[in-house]
Amino acid sequence: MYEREKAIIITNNDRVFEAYKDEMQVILKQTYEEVLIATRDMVYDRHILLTHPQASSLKPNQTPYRSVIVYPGSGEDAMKAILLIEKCLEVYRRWQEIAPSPASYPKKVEDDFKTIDLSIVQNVMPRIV
Amino acid sequence: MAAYRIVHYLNQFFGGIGGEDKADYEPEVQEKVIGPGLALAQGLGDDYEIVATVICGDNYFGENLDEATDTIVEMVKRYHPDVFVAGPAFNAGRYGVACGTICKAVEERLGIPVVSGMYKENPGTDMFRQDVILVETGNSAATMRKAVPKFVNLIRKLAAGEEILGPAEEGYLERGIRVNYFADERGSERGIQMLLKKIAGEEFSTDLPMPKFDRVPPAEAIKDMSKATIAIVTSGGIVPLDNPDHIESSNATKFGWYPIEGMEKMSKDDYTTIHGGYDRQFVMEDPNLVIPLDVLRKKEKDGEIGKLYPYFASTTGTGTATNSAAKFGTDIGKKLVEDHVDAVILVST
Amino acid sequence: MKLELGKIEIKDIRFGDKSCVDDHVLSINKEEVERLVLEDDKLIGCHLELAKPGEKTRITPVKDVIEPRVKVSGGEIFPGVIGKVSPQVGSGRTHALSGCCVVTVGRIVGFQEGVIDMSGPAADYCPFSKTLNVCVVIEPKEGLETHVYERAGRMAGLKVATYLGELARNIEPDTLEVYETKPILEQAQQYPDLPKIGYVHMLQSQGLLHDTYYYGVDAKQIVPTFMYPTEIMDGAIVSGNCVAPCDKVTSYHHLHNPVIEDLYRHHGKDLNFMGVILTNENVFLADKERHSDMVAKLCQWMGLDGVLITEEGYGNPDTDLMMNCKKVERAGTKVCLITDEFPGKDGKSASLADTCDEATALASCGQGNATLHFPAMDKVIGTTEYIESQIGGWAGCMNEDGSFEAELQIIIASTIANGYNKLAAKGY
Repeated sequence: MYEREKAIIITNNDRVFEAYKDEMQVILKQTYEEVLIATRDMVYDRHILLTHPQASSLKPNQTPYRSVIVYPGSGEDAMKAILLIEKCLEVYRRWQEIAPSPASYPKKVEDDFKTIDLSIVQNVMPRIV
Repeated sequence: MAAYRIVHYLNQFFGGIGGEDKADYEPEVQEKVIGPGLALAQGLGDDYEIVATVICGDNYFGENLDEATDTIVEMVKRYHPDVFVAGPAFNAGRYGVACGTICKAVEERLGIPVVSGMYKENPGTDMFRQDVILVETGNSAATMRKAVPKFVNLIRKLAAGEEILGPAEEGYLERGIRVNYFADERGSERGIQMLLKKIAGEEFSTDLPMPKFDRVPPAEAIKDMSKATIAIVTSGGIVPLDNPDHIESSNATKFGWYPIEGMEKMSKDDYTTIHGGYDRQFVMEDPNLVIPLDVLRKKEKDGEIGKLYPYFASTTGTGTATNSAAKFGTDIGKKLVEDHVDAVILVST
Repeated sequence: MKLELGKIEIKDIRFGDKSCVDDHVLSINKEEVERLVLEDDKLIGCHLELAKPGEKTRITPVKDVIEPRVKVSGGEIFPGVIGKVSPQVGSGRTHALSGCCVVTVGRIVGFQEGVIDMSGPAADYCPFSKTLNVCVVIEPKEGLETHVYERAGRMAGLKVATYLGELARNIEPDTLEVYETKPILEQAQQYPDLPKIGYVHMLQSQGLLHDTYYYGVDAKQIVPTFMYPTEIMDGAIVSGNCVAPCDKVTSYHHLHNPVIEDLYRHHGKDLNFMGVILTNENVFLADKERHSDMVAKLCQWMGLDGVLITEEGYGNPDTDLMMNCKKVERAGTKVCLITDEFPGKDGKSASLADTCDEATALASCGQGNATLHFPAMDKVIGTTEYIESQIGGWAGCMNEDGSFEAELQIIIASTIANGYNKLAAKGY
């Protein structure tokens, strides 16, 4: 149903970037919000979402890392994707208002967050076939 | 001397100044109890005194939002009230928005507890229910008598700094603030009981009402833009300088059609915005930011779009009741369909 | 399928020379249990501590909570994870040590784990403030991969619970509860006049530290399926989830799923409990679409008049919750959702990350953003070193005397979204 080479990962997690940059397109961003915005822009430009942009139940102010996978597409799925990514941006901003994400984390904690984010991508990859 | 001081806000009508013809009335203070204040004072008893009543015309307030708010807050401040009361506004839309705006400003700037009241469908309700305690009233002044005990109870509690209980207990419109409590049954049991009622077609009340969205399915995409007629419609309040249709700066009750035929761009010498809900300075300098005539004319010339419809429709979005907006939309849409417009650019602000 | 669940009331716990249950008192040979845990070479440290209701004790970071149980008649507990998978799971007889729990404690990752206070204001919000807790404090080998260590922690708790559960095998239970669900056609006929009710149980399955196991199978890998409700009482589902303490469904909560318990209470009186549909909360959107379609089909196929749906987590799972709700309703089965809320500290924001028009009935499990003062305690089991970076805490929330402010989010299972608690939220 899908071809791996056509899927695009948008991430701010360097470990996701390193893991997949040789086999597919990976767009590396600086921040969580930039990932969501880049995803939104892709979705408005003829892509659909393959993964939920709020994967993991870590609330958007509780993890600094975010990876989303998009795929070329249009039609009904594109409409759904637009509604979903806009909702996620809204929810992200709502949580930043509630309490902004910490400016930095201890190294070990940051690594844990990267591991969790990477594991979500790793778990999804076998589905993109 | 009374233990607690109250300042009361009324519009020109309830303040006894006059009807719609006096809606431009500028803010003033009268050091006496007026109109609905009499019923409140009577209910409150001797420990409470309405030391002043501020009166302002609804149109004046709507068209001079910032200035009127500043003036009225200053007036309230001089009397050092323990509680500030506005209205009730019942179903009067502009009055409701004014009551909400003033209450919010008084609470934020002066730190004085506030209470107002209105009908649940008043446009002011949705705008201010989260910020201001609004006593639920009927849709006309005839329901004042029923509202008085609720006002009295809330004013007393606010003056004494007592805890305000839930909307059902106190008779105010739910603010949409989610508060924890320990229920008699656990969630799973409450869920089962709710489900059984739902299946039996009996009445039940959900713990969390879903937000209501009036979703409209998107129209079919235009196949060939180079042949399409495009119209511009905005809720950004762009009007000719003299605002010939007297569109309100908030809670609009009407919209206007304005010609753009033969114009290359929107000029600040001819157009302005009367919108009361955003920082207008950039748009007043360059109205093309809201009516993008300059860009669209170029696209028209370049053949990217067929042609521009010779009028744009405009109203004010802020504080406008959704049913008013739906009516404007229906009227605007009807005319555009009659004139064979293919697509509309809706500019929000 | 019929299960007899014998409950042995535990009134006290203590360390002793021999592990046994005698006159409602659980004695534990500390060294024996610690040795059992340290059989796993991923763990280099383990010590046991006891915590009882009313004590000025704080337990954190907590990974999982498990009730000790044993299969008395054939079959084994926690099938596919600790015990063998067998057809007897969910039938025959099971014994449980009621009122006591195994609590695994220790750093799993630098955030996420929660708090159990045995007294004080936070105790009102936590089910495990009222149980006698055997705390297994573990320490990993240096440099382990996070997922390897997560597994070691998960297994340690299950092993200790199984070890203690074994002590209940030959004890006469204080109460014997009987639960039975018949094959679908017979079940429908048993109470033909009562509404047929099912339960859609959404399992957390988003990835590392967000996993649940069904007979040892990672729930990400399953497609929606039918389960007899009694299977869950024998440990067919265990938690591998460490996310957001407040709405974490611990292994204890799987054994004691409140929707299943309460549906059985109503069974034959005002409803006919037909069984459980298991589904998951995947990240891949095509999985969500497929699985919500399948859930709706199963509801229709089972002829259900109504279902309760519960979720675990926030955000991504809210999308599954609403997709399930919408599709099940459209397929003709009435839905009531059970979930918790996150509307911000002032309670003014939207409670859920997703909504749908069909969600007309929802039972709230409270809002997790409300803040609470956690007083200093006399004893800490584990460490409070990470409070500020645990979910629900914030930089600067910890005071010098060991007290702190935090959101309810930090308390284990305080707003658990399956309706286990009485906490609820309403509109003000």
